[in-house]
Amino acid sequence: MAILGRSMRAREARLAYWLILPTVLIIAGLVFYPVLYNVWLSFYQVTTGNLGEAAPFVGLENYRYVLKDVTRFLPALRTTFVYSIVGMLLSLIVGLVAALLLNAKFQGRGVARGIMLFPYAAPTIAMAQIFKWIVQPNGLVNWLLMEANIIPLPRAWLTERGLALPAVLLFQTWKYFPFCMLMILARLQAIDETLYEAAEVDGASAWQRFRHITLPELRYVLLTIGLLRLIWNFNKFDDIWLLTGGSSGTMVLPVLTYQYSFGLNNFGWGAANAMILALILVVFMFFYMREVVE
Amino acid sequence: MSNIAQAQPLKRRRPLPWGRILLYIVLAIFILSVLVPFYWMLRTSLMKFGEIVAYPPRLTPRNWSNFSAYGKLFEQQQFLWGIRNSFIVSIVVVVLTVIFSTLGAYAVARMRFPGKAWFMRGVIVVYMFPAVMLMIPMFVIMSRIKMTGTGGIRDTLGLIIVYLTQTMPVATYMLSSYFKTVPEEIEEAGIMDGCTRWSVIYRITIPLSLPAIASVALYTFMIAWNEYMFAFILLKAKETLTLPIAFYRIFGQFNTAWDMVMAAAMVIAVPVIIAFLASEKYFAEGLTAGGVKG
Repeated sequence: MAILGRSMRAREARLAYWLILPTVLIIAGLVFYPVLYNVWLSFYQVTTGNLGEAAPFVGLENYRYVLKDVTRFLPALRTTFVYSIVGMLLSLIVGLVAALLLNAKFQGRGVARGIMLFPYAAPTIAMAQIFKWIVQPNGLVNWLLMEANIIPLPRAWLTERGLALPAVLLFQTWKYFPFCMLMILARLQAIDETLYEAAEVDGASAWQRFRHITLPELRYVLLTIGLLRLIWNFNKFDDIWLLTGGSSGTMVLPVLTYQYSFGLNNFGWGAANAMILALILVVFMFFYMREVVE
Repeated sequence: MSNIAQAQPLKRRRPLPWGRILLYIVLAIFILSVLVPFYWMLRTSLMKFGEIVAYPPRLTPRNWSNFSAYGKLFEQQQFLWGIRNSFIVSIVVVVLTVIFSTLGAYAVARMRFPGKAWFMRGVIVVYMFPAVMLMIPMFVIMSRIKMTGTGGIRDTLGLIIVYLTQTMPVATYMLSSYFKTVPEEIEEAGIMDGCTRWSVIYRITIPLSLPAIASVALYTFMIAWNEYMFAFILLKAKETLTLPIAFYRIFGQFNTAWDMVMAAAMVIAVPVIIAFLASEKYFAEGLTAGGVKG
């Protein structure tokens, strides 16, 4: 504040440090320290048997094992990329359409917006169960598709290889498009109305107005939430775990991290797997910080 | 001659509002695809077994006041424990998060101190930070300090501490961007009148920000209430399970008691949907105005 003198400023800084101390402790102690600890774990052979003791040092052996694991790691890496990139694009596009809809003026707009947020707000466990139920062989989706003559026989959407991944992607689009919608909508409503009025006076069509005013104005927010969704999809554990458990071609790196550690009882492999995941993420996060935050 | 013909005023016929019609059609598709799964959950939860497996599926339950699935659900001790534990964990997380993030966010919004930019960067990194990266190290650390696997209150405490990593960044974000909108002059007047910083914070800033703090509280509640992965890793004893894990434990991965599953999904989902709708305004504003500059 302008009215403060120099010694007051020093006192203010001291108070500020006290105020941020709890947050700093949480970030340092509960995020940064465990991440470093994960690096350490990835060089040791840790199992449930030696959690409390010194574990044997194995160097890069865990990494070598994971990177050479052609039956688990490599397919999971590929699936993770497909899942996060396609999922990001789908939720971004659907979210954009929804935001444009809600940016138009019509009766009951607030209610419509509220309803569209349901899937994002509701707990994953509940959503996953509903989804499993409606895509059951004797469920709603199969019945509708058969009535519409799209498929002759019911399909097992979550256990058939080739169908499970699209089904999981559909679920993630349904669940996360509202996040994109909300962010895009907030940005849309901040666009200066006079830009559109001027364009209309100049005779610009609706498409031209969208193309030359709306899209450029949305560029940053699309980039931002695109990256965020990419990062978050890349790390999604619960959605896939609850829907398929990682079977039928939906194994992704986060679920594999769990499987290595708790299924195969090798925390070293799990930690190494998580490290590889993190290295890929650091690239995404670097872009995010550079493009968006700075 | 032709020029004159063109210059004549065109007879205006009101065209069909195609834009509006398209808007309503797309809107209807959106609303339906969001609501139908939720409706299917409600409908199934009110059905008897014979109705559930009927083919073709019945669109409505025969009796809208058949709550027998809910009755059976609330007879399950595991489910009641789940509700109790979820409430305890979520409320403690909300209280701690609101206190800590109010302090930190105030410092960021109002005070000058060296390292502020780094602090905010840290908060943003943690906000984006993949929870799955913490899965293995958190489990190992918590096992070593006996905050998991004890089957008692220590497990719950461990989970609460871990949840702070998930709630603090977004809460700090939302609140600091809100605090920035509170006119600084009001606080300066308070300081001129001889208030200390502390009394300015709790006599002026906090009362003015109550709506934002309330929505941060609701949003935090939602995060803690919905969280699945850490609870799944860290809680094992049946008395300590939170609702999503209790749910999983009761029904397993494969089940046929869809009326009870859907009733449980209702009980888990409805409170958070309400909480989210109440906090939605500041959620969007906080994120878009504060960190994610667009």
